[in-house]
Formats: sequence, structure tokens, C-alpha cells
Amino acid sequence: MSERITSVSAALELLVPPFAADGGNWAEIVEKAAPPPRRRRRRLILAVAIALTLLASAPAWSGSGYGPILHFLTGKPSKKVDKLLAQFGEDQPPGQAVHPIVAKTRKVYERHGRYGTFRIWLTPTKEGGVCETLEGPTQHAIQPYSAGCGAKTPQHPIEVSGSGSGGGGDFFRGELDGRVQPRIRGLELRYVNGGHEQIPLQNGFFATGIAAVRTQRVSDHPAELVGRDRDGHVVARFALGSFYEDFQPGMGRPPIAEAKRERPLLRAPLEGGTSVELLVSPARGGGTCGRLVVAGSTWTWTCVQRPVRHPVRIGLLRAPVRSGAAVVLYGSVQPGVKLQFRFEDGTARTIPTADDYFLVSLPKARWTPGRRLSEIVARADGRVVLRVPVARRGAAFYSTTPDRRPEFGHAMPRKPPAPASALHGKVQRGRAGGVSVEANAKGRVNFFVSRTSRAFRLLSGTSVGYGCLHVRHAGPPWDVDEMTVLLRFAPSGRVSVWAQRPFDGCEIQGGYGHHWRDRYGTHSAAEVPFDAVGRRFFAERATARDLANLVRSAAFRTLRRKGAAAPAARVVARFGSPIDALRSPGERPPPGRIGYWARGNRAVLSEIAPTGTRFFIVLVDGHVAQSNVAGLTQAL
Amino acid sequence: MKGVKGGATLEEIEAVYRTQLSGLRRLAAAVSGSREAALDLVQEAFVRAVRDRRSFRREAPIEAWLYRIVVNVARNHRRAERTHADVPIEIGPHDNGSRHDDAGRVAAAVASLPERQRLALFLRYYADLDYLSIAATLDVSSGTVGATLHAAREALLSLLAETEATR
Repeated sequence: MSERITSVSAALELLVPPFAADGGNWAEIVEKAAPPPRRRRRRLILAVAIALTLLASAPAWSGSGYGPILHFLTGKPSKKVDKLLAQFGEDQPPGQAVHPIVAKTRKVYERHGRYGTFRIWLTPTKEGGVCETLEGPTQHAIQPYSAGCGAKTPQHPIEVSGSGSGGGGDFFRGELDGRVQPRIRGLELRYVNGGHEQIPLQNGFFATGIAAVRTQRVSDHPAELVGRDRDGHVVARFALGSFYEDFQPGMGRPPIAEAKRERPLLRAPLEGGTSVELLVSPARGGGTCGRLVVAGSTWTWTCVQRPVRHPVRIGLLRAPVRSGAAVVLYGSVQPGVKLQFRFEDGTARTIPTADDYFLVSLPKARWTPGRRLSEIVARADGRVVLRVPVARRGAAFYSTTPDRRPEFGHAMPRKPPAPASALHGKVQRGRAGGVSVEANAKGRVNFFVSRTSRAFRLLSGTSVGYGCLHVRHAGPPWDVDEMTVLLRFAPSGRVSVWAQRPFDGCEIQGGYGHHWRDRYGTHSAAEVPFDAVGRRFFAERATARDLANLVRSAAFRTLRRKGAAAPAARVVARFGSPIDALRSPGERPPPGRIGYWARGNRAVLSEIAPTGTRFFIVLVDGHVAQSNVAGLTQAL
Repeated sequence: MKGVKGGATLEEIEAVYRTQLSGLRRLAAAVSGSREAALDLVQEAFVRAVRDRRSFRREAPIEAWLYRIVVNVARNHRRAERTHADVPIEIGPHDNGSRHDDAGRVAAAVASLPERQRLALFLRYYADLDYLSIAATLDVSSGTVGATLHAAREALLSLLAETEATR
């Protein structure tokens, strides 16, 4: 019968009893450790062989004419890299074949960054060019991403070899790589929302991961690479306008959350009465998006496609609390997967999920060594499908320094400008139709377009005119002084209009053409008045445009060519209900409708603006003889 | 006086080997889960240590460096030999039924501890290392060692009490 074990030393004594003292065999150790003479000679021969190989390979690079001086890094490419390169010689059409000299592959770039390690390998080709192979982080290891062959030297100041949405976990969704000409010493990546970061260069090459939060919304996407010379002057720019555009919905393209259908799902209390909350919404293109809100502020926003490929996706957030940081774990699981946290003290806790999401705040009591989280275990059908060790991640996991909140674009974290359209000290602010505008005293204007707004739908992917204006009501006609800057649309556009404030309003005009009563309407895509004059101007201009667009339309020009004015009945029959026949040229048509009067070679068209102003165009022999729309529309 | 900037001397390694052989073997047996392999594992670890003695950087006591090599060799052996059973039940002396039962119970309890706790216990009890040397061996702070050992003791006794109660 066994005895009760009451002490650790007794238990361990029982586990491994002492060995008999035999003094060991030190002589054997010394003998085995001594390298045999033959082996040493073999090593020498091997060293000579390696040296000869290196010498033989040197001319391929030294004679390759690669312009920049390259400092090769130590390390050999993996077999996967070699295999990828070897494929270039296969199935190529005659005259276009590229034959990389795989054995001469050298590493020219390696950096360990926030999202893992990126490496670039350079391989000379028999045709005189080079091939670049990019390796980057994947779920389990560093793997080749892509390889491409081209000229030996960069043909443009900045060359982007690849960009787009990549693999990886929750914190890394995209990548960007390429090379620059030698004169470029610094590279800056700028985002649509105005954020920027430095991209390290090595041998003129660069590769970087793009954070998941930068891939979810167009407003956060990378926008431009800026190259600077040794003096810090901007000498090159590369627009990344097509970033992510190659990816179709459901095919890896970052989905977009349908914010209007968002609902709260999970909540975890934090110290000081605050909390972290997970809100979910459907994603356009399939899947769901989860938004993490800490103390009322959006922290991160990650979308996942369905079905989820991995049993568990885990995100770590060190949320700011009064005492420093709270460790919050959140993420999603595959349907049917049960999650369990195991701790160093041997205890375990089953983690509840809701709609396949989970959200847990680790209490401070679990920060103590010996009680910490040691492992996350995922089970499906009672079988362990994934173990994620946590304890080995060390004390940094429990850092008291909270994470920095990522910079977002226009809508989520930034407090929207005040709705009042008026002068507020040094800044003019206004908002209308999901578009907010701030104009500071120096003529710098920030436009913020909500992605749920009509303007966003109309303007995405087009070139637009950002403009602000001074107007003076002189009757009509209006006296208009507008400064417009033509740019590619960005939901958080920042422009310098260099016009004197105060403005009466600002607008974004689409690059699309107008037809009478088309889907775009007669208002600009975004119109934000700052005062009553601006409001009146936008209303009256829309009416003037409507009238002018009709007169300019191809169908109406056909009627105008006849010389004599077309009878009212014919015009009404041709254009339908928006046209009313008027009994006299000065009669006011009903609001929202266009009046038409004709006699002989003279015709009058008129329309009443919401402000009560009557706009008219007089045609004589089919030509515009008189109107009060001048200055409000360029249609005529 | 000739200063030693880096690397270990043969004499230093031999001194540890001769004075701490029993503890080294017990450690190797506990980590590898095989009493029979422990003798060879210690020999192999010291062959490596002698061969690579120039790599010792003197940032920690030489005992910590040597024990770390023993732990690594034993752990590699365990991985290579590992079957699906995690419990190293064969390391007990197997001399009679009751001791076998108790050794198995202890082995199961020890095996369920987190690895760091387990190694801290072995280094403390079999190798008789101080906290500083344990910290250097496990590459953690000495404060962590104290907390880890405390947690390990508590957990082990608790597990043993549980298994005692359920027998």
C-alpha cells in the first residue's frame, strides 16, 4: 500500500531516485569531443571547394552590370524559392523565355518587421536580366510569395513589384514590395486618409506588410509612395491607385462593412467602469465584419470571409485603462469549434462564443507568473483541432503599455464636424448629405465623405473637383467666385484652395457628364453650404442647370433646328410630364416643373427654384436669345 | 594574471561533471522521461559542451550553461522518442507495486505541469541550482523563477492530493 505524498521533494525523490555514484567517464567525453584528424582535412577540402564555388559565381554578379552596388546578405534560398525560379524556364514562348541561374541566387533584402520577416532574393538570368523573389510571412512559416523577372536596374525611380491583399493572420492582410533607383535614399508610404510611415530600404529594395486595418476600407488604403533623395527632397512619387483593385468580392478583396446593419454582439468589462465591445455587421461581398470599441472609440475593424478557413483567429489588444493596459483577446472561430483557455496553474476556462465570435478580458489576477494563460485549445467534435501556446510569448504579452490606436480615415474615430453651418472661430465647418467640410484660415480644406453617402457611391474611383466658393446674389444672375482643385477622389480629401475665407460653401463635383434628368441630378455630388447665401446658391443653381440641360439636350436641339418654335403640345408630347404648356411667356410653372410657351419663332422655357426665383431661357429661331442662368451653368 | 574573456576551459567543465554528475543524470532522466537513457544523455551533452566550449560567453554561471545543454539534449531525446503517451511512467525504479503506483502518479502530475514549471522544479531539486542559475538556464528573470517554483509546488501538491483522494 502506498503512502500519502506530502512534500514536493518526496514526490521528486520518488520520480527519479538517485543514481549510484560511479564517477562517470570523463575520458570518454574528451575523446569523443576531439575532432579526428581526417575529418579536419575533409573540412579543409570542403572549405576550398566552397571558396572556389564562390569565386566561380562572382563573375556572374560582378559582370552582370547590375547598376547599384549590392551588399549580398548571408543565407541560402529555400528549396521553394529555387523551385519557383526554376519554373520560369518552363513553357515559355520562343523569344520570351527567361532562364534564371538559380544557383547564383543571393539575398538582397531581409527585415523583421511588425508582420513577420520579408526577404528578397535576386537571381541573374542567362538573358542578362534579374529575377526577384519575395518571401514573406504566412500562417506557419516564411514562404515565397511571388517571383518576377525584368531589367537589371530599376527603369523608373520607384518600381512596385507587387502589391495587394496577402495571407497572414489578423494583423497582416496586405503587402507591398519593389525597388528604387540609387538616388532615392528614403521612402515614405502615404495612405488615403493622410497617415504615412517610412518604408525601410535595403540595397534599394523594399517590402512591407500592410496592416489589416489598412485594408478594410478604401479610405485607409495605401495611396502613394514618395521617394526622397539624400537631402530629404521629394524626387519621385508612385501612385498606388490600383491597390486591392485586382481583388474581386469574395475572392480575397477586403470586404466592406455594412455599417447600417451593425449590431452589438459581445461586451467585456474593463477596470474603471469602462468596457470593450464587439459589434458585428454583414460585409459586402460576403462574410462579416467585427468592430472593436474601447470606451466608446473604435479600435480595430476586421472582416472575415465565410466560411472561415482557420479553426480560430485570435487578436490581441492591450486596451488603455486607468492603470495602464488591459489584455483583451478577441477573434472568431469556425462553426462548431469550442474554445478553452488553459492557465499555468492548471485551471481551465471554457470561452463562450456568440455567432462564432469571442471576446475576453484577462483579469489582472491572471497576469501573475504561475497563473497566466498558458494555452488556447480549440476543439471540434471533441477533438483538439488547434493548440496555441501563449505562455512562451513572455512578459511582453502582459505589457502595461496600451496599444496605440490605429489611425483611421474620415468617419469612425474622428468626431464629425459640427452640423451647424456657420463660422466657428478660425475654422468653417459644415455638413450635408454625409459629407463634412472643414476650412481653416489658410485656405486649407478637408473633405470627409461618409462611405454610406450618395456622394461616395457617385464619386468612388473617379477624378473629381474639390471646390469652395464665394457668391454674391445680384438678382439673378449670380456673381460666383469658385476655386476648384481637380484630384482623384478620396473620401478624406485634403486640398488647398488658396482662396480667401470666409466661403459661402464647398462642393465636390463628379467627373461624369450630365444629361437632362439623369441619375446624377442637377446638384453636385456633394454640396455643403456654410451660410444662407451658399444654401440659396446651391438650390438655384440646380434649377438653372435643370433648365439648361433640357435646352441643350439632343432631343430638344432637334426641335430647335426647325426654325419656328416647336408647338407646346409637341414638346409636351416629346418630353412628357415634367413639361407644362404655359398660357403666357411670363406665367410661373408649378414648383419642380418646366413651363414652355411658344409662338412664331419665339419660345420661352421657365422653371421656379425652391427659393421662388424664376429662371428662364428665351429662344428665338432656335437660338438662345436671353436667359438668367448665365454664371450658374456652363451647359449653354 | 591571465584573464578569461570568453569560452570555458576543460578544467571548469570537468569540475562540474565530477561534482554534480548525480544531479545531472537525475535531471536528464526527468526531462527525457527515461532513466536508462540518462547516462548516455549526460555524456552526449558534455561532449557537446567540450566541443563548443568556446561559445560559452560567461554571461551566466557555467553550471547554468551546462545544465541548459543537458536540458536541451534530454528534451530533444524525448521528442525523438516520444510516443502518444505524455506520461513518463517508466522513470520510476519499478522495484515493487506500490512504489510503481506512486511514481506513476507523480509522473502524471509532473507531466501535467507547464514545461517551465516542470523544468524549474527539476533544476531546483535534482541539480540543486540557486534561483540565479535557474533563471540563466531557463532564460527568465530570477523573480520569475521564484514565482514559477511557488506555482509549481502548489500545483504539484494539489494534483497529488486530488489523485490521492480519487484512489
